[in-house]
Amino acid sequence: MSEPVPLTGTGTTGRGPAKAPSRRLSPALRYVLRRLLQAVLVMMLVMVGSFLLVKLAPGDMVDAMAGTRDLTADQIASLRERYGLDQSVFVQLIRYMALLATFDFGYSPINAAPAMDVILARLPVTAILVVCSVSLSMVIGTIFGVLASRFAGKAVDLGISLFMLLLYATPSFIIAILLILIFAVKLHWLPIAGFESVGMGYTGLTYLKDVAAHLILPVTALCTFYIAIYGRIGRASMLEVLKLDFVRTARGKGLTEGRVFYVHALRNALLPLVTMAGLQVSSLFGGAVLIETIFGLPGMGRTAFDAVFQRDTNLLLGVVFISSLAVVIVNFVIDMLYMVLDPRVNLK
Amino acid sequence: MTLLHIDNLRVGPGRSAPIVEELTLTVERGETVGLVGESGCGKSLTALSIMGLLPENLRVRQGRILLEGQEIQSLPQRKLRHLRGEKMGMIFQEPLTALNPVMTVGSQITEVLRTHRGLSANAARARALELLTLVKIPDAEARLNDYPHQMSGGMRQRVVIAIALACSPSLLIADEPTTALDVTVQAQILRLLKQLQQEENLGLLFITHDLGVVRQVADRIVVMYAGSVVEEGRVDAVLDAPRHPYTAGLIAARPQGSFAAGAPRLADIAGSVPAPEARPDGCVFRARCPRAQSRCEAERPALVRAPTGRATRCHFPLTEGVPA
Repeated sequence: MSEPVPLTGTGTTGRGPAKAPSRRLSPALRYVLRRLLQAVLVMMLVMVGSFLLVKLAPGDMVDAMAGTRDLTADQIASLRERYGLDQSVFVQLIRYMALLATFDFGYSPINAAPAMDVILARLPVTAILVVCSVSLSMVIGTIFGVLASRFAGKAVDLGISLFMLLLYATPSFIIAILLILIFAVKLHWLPIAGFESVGMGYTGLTYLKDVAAHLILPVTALCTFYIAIYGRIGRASMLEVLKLDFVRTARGKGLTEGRVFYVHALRNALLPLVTMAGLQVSSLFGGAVLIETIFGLPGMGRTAFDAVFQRDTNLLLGVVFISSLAVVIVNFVIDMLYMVLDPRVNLK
Repeated sequence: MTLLHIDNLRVGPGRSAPIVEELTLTVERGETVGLVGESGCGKSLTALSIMGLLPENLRVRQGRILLEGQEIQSLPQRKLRHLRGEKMGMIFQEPLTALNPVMTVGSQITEVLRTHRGLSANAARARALELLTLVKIPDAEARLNDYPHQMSGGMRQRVVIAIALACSPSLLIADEPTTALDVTVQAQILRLLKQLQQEENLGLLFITHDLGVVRQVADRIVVMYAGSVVEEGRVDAVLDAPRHPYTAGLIAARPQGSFAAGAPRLADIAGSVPAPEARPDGCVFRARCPRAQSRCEAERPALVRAPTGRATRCHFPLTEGVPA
């Protein structure tokens, strides 16, 4: 350089002024700690709220136990005393929260087992269902959306949009029943219901194959609606990004249209899709009751449904706890993903 | 051979009135041509036509664009793509949004080199470093890993320039490269562009609406009004003694002297630029022209070129020495 050029705003521009490091914690660690504290607070609020709601409803777990057996008034009173149900709601709440702090959900009368054991046994079913449907619907929906935007206004776009509309407008339980009729009843390709073939004693790879065969139809039924959502969001987001100046710069550089599209535009268009994935996990976690019922899957949705109708308050609250925890964790992961996808998002 | 020759170009949407009309323009190697005009007169569209980046609804309807003798206006995109970035580079108006926010500055420079030159990752990075140093970005090595949002507007425009120059093109098109920058940064960027243009012997087509900037950087000036060229010539000749009433009006409308109370009001050109479909017959400027006569209504003036290279599209041009 021949002459020293005065440069405005170099050096620290955009990196923020170097603040004195407070309490010697790295920003990332401080961020994680703050999020953790937030999570604990959210969970406590959710549990207090849910507990009070459940107490507002008539009936308790002793009613549920009494419903199946002939119990005398004395026996009922002593059972109430044993489970602390004779205390004031406030005392019950404090006791419940104390119990929860030790990760104990209490006793589940309809299963005659600790609620925690019941939930842990059913969690994998829901987890597999949710993970498979979220990843599949996101990938397939995004591919459709991107293809539609690539051929915006052309026949391909029109075809995809119509297909999306169909998926969007058909309730998933109807799709589920249609799938069963076609692939299980008529064609006998896949099992009708359940999580595994009972009493076959499969192990290893055979067992995995068996479970996978049972999951194909329910996962498909759970995906259809969301494929349409991802497709529509993906298309709109791509078209929005393609209008931005940097896309013109990329074209001006002489890059191939494919690179402009799939490298420059797509990555910028992914954020709304990731947001949607977070929402989908949250809603599927306890909300797949219909599909779980149709396919006879012992998942969280059905567990919650049974618990509500049989006044099994401990089990219900346990399901609420696990579902909320899943939502909190997924939100955290989504925020991390934002940071990976968009360098402008800061730890804050 | 002329580096860039635009001959009688007409650009517009399918059926309705063209936006750019009868546009003829040349840029020689090592020459800076200032393309001047009001917003909406077709300056940027001219640039996008050259690059082959016109919006989908607009097309080159007539005329030719020759780059080093090769007709490029009818080339298919896949062939044109090889010329963009390789033979011609473009700098855009908005440095803040011209770079991809989720890619590092380094990768945005290296991808041009890898696409056109097939360089290895290491070679491309070395050349990117060289380019950042060329556009006077301090601490270039570290800056390669920065994202655009970590840089100021001036720095980002330097990166955009580095990208445009990556493959040593022979033609550089700069579309209002300093409009979005503050004045001190503007001066630096102009000085840098001028220096690079001389060092690399570039043909530079500099689009602006700022006559002061034109005088600073350009050798020749081309004044556009409502889609066509109205005046052309050496910068000093045109700016010191405009012949077209529109050019004279533009020069008179520049702020001069003080803004203090009692200072004379800024001169302006009465009326506004007609929309493409509302352009009148005859001379398009006549409705706003103080010298218009009946002939201007009846007959569209041709661009008359003098042997000196000076050209004017006016039936009644101002004669030299007579103030506007």
